[in-house]
Amino acid sequence: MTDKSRSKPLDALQLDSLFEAASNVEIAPTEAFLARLTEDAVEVHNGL
Amino acid sequence: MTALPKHTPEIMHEHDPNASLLAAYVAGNVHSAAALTRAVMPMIYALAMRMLGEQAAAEDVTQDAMLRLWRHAPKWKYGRAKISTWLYRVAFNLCTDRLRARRDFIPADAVAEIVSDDPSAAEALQAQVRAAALRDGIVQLLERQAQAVALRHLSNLTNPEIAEIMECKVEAVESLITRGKRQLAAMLAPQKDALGFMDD
Repeated sequence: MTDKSRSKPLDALQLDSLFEAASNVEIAPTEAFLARLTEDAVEVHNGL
Repeated sequence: MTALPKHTPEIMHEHDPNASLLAAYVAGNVHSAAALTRAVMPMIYALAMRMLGEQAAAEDVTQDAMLRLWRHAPKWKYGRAKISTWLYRVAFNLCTDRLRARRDFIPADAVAEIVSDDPSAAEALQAQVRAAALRDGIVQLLERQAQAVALRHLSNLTNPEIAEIMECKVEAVESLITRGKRQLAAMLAPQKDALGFMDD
């Protein structure tokens, strides 16, 4: 690969593949985490 | 269920169903906090996971954002920003602060070394490299470009939704996304080899 080709900007498909890689993660928050957040809410309310 | 406080009449919640839950929380109904958390937390968590790439960091950001909401609740200006809109702004800022502090880096050689041993592992590592490079690139963009690009391509929001969050016109969002992606494409060009891209 030449220096010239290396500096050519990523094309749309290549950029899309980066977004796809970043988006391809497990995003299911656990019930334990949900419970922790609710406890936070109660604690904050008690301190208001 | 606890009645809504007098200073937050129902009419003020028409544009944001979550506002009634927040008002009920302020009035002392802790069950509404759980309902509001279920309603808004997943979207914040998803943004954080995609921007940060790891569960612990995403949970920290989500927890911090929700804590800020509860603390801000008594002063909430009903009828103005939607709760989800406000949370997106807070979560995005928390994510970029973290990304600037840590700067992702996975050496390109790591992919090359593993290719011959285990193709599927190499593919997974390549995806990590690409995600890390993207995150690193996004935080180097101008802040409003970064926000527009992340909300569009990592949170999959529409341009009008992003315009509401960023308090600007849809045309401005389109421009920010276009310029941000062009900047990313140029910024990441020197990393093509590491990202596994071949030029013609």
